[in-house]
Amino acid sequence: MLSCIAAVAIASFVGKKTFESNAYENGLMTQNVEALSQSDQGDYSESVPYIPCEKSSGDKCLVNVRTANGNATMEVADYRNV
Amino acid sequence: MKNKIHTILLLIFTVCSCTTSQNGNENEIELQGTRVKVDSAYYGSYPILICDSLLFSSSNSTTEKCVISSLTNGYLKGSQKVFRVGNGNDEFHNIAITKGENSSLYILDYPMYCNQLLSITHITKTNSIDSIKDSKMWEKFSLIDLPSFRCVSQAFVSISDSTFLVPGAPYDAIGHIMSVVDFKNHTLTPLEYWPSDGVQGDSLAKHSIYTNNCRIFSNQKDRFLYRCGEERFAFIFTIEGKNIKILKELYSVLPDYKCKGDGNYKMNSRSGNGLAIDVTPNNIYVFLYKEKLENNAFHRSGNTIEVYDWYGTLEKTLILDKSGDFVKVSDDGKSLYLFSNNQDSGEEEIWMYSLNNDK
Repeated sequence: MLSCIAAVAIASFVGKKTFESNAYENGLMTQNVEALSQSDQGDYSESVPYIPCEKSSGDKCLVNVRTANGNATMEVADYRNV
Repeated sequence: MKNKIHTILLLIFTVCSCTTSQNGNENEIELQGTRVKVDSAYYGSYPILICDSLLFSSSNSTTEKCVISSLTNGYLKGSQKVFRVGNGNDEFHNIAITKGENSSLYILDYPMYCNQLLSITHITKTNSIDSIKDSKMWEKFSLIDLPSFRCVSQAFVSISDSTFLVPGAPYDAIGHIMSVVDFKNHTLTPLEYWPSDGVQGDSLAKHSIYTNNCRIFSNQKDRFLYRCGEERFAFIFTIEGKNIKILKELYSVLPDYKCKGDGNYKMNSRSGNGLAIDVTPNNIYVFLYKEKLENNAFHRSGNTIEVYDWYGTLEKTLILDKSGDFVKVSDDGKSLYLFSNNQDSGEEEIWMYSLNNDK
């Protein structure tokens, strides 16, 4: 069960990370990404969670999450919390 | 009246003189570096520690967690990937590495969800990379019966042959930021210390800002050093029973943040200043860096190192001729290594500085 939840969480996380990386490459700032996800785009904003990380070499972005089995922390290397 | 004015002027002059002296200008030493020759097999992403003549670096690999290289006489060579990723008895998930007594090593293993301590492995044969890799010589202690624990830092320190200090706390005691684990008697003790920063909010968010990317160090005796992962906040402390006793606050700039209500925090602002630290049994080396935005990512860069003793007295300030993003000091305190990610060439550079002649 935990594996399934974790897999979904990681998939969402990685998906969002990729999304943000692309956003950076396209010259968008984090605020724009957040604004985009909150704009009138159907159910898009609900399907893509906002992961508050920005690129920072040598750091880790650590986001607390809750799973059905309790607390956990997702981490992304070379990012940091915004 | 004139006497009073003279007295005030004299006081102002005295205060200004003291301030200049405390800034360490009198003990500022400029150092010239020598480029460390690196063989083509080096692929560490950032340094973890130096143990005798071996450099341990974080690995970019998905199959091993660490790279160990031989670092002698200005040469870095013979790099090997170690500590395989997996669920087997000799494999690891997330790791933190620290030095123990007599050049031994401890490897702390925790899961990718950072919510449990899995095991601690003691490696006593560390004279070569091959002997470190020999898992038959490892002594492994399970920690899975301890309570669910938020463990996000890649740093911990050995206190004795059965205890270690680690940043983090059990989720049911999250209003602490450091804990002592007795891995032979299977006990976990959160230490009483909670930063007084005036921020109101949930404990998990506050715990997170003071443990994410933080580091702890020791003089391998009775003194410890905490360094926050944000801004410039660091202090020397001792452990007295279940309490942390702060001996000297070296830097006092606290992070500017707010709690979001979901267990996470959000930074209000950052000054762009940060600290990276390495220690020896005699000294604390504080690398002062500033972050800069390059290629859509923040990079740290600095060339100034403040050297303290373990009482918190500033002994000298080293000014390096090159800028970099991390420093490490050899066990004997004779050499300092600056790690630099050259943004122009994309090349990782290591510069060596002799500390013998900087007295």
